[in-house]
Amino acid sequence: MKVLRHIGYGDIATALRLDDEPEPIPGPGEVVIRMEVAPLQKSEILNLADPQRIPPDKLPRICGSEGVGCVVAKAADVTSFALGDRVFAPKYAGLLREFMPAQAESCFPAPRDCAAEKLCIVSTMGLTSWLLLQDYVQLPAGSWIIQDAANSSIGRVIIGMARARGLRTVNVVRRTGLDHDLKFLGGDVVVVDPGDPEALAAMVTKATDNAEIKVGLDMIGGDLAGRIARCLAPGGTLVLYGGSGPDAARIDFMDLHRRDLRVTGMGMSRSFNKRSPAEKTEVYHTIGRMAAEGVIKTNIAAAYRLEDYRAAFAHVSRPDSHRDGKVIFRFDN
Amino acid sequence: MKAIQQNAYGPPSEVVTIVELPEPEPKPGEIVVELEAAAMHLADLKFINGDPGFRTFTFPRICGHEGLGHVIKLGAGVTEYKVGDRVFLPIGVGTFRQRIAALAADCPPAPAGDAQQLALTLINGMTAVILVDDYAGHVKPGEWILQNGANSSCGRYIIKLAHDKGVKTCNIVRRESLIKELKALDADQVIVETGNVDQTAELVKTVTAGAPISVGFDCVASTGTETIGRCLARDGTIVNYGYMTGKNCEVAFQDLFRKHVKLVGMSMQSPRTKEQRKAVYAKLSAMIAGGDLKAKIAATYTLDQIQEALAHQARTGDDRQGKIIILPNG
Repeated sequence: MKVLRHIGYGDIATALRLDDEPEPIPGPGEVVIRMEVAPLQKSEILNLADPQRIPPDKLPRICGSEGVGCVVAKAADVTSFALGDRVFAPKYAGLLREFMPAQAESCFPAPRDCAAEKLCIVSTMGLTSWLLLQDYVQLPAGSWIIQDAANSSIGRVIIGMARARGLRTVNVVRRTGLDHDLKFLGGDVVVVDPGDPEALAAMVTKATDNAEIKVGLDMIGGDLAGRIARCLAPGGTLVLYGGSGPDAARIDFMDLHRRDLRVTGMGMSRSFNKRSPAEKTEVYHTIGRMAAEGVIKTNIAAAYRLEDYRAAFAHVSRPDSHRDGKVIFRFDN
Repeated sequence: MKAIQQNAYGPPSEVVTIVELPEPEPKPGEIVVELEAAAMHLADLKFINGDPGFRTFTFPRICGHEGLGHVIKLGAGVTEYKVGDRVFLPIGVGTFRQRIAALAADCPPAPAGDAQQLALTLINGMTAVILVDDYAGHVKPGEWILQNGANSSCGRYIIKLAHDKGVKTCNIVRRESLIKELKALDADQVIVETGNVDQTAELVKTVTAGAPISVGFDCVASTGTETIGRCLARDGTIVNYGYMTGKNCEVAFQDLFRKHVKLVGMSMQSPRTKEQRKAVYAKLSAMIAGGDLKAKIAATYTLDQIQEALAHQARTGDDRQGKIIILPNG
């Protein structure tokens, strides 16, 4: 079977190696997954360039942080899955390989009644969005929330999920022309960020007919986080969920102090790991259904075979390649 | 009688004047109070300048947010007080004036003692109580809290109030010269801001021997907020209650995401009832009158000297050296 390994630093040709090796045999408690699809994340590209992200002593490592496949072999002691079941493979486990051995308890059941690529968004964007809305937006149906980066892949997933939960969304974007798109996904209001907190708040007030907005979701940080904070009602919460850069969120004292705002960060692993195994399975089931039924979706920019990994990595390296959607590997063609 | 009137937003020398007003007469339920001392706060200057967030007035208005004095006249039906009693005025009534009429029921009683010190009870004192008792209410004796701007009158109150509960304070200041002063007030540790978030955090870690700190108070904003966040333990809370730098509060991703630090604004909308607030004022003012809580007074000014007073308020640090107190009747 083919396995894609990250073996060094530098360009795609030298940092990666496609190996051929025997198919794995399941150990105790394990299943073997025949991978169907796995998205290629931008982070994989960054990993090739930066020894700070993945130190040399962690190399070689198998690439790939999420994916979906079918159980083709299992240990005798595994009862939670049957041969042929489709599963979400364990995250960050090194999934760019044709066959993946994994502990059955680290896999989650996936829907069978849809194309596998529809499920590419479940274990990262889907999970983040779902946990954000479950753990940080405890509001009754009909309530408003506001988010920035609304036209990002995850922003779009949040729109769909929020709509499914009966929440109304104010979607802040950077450019005009997205109104139709985001409303089609289920967004209620689309506002182009004017770059000024007062101006944004005034636009939001007008567009929502002075609605009380108790929760803001911010993926960007910096001054934009402060602008989103300005739009929140007294006692509101700003949840940062995407920030990974060196930047900070900058929030106006007046907003914090006079309106009792609260600023908090959401970490997906932590929110997920505090759940019981049954709850985790239920979370995957719910998000899997949403993806299968098209409540949440993402564009597939291109699908590559594992042999064509250089073209796939080159595609993801292109500036703003994420704009067209996800680059994925498809193993079964 | 004289009063300090603001006619518009702008530079104090242009918009603040001393005016002659008619003597107040008490309506039923009211008392007339002759002011002894009124505190000046940084916010008074911001309200005069009309800084963002401080443009909430219609004009003309009388300046001054808090103060105390003694009762000189009683309106019909007043039973709470008699002539000569000392009272605090309600917050925000315009205390830079010689005399004022106010509802007796809204005026908390004030003890005998240094009027200049007592003039800080309702705002700085109450802020310190809310921070220590509410936001750090979970902190047990022997555990640490952290604050910046520790030399402010509120910061000094916090040191003492925490110490009385057995809670240790780690205090961040900007000047070396303050270390001795604050330690004399029972501050457990005092460190000087290094100008670098990680270095300051390292100092805090050293002087607190790496003890987990669950809550920190920030009145500096900008990277001051970030520094507090960097020092806190997992799930810690930064409580912001001021912005001496005039900048926005910054909280770094690494603290938000890896440590799950939260940032909240301190709310003056305290959950206390009016009666509970009065009880807090009584306790606070007794501590201030007894000298247990002591603010640093930089200077006192009369109403005629209002421009000098405002110019002094506009200075910071070594150039101000504490609170400005207005003595409306000299």
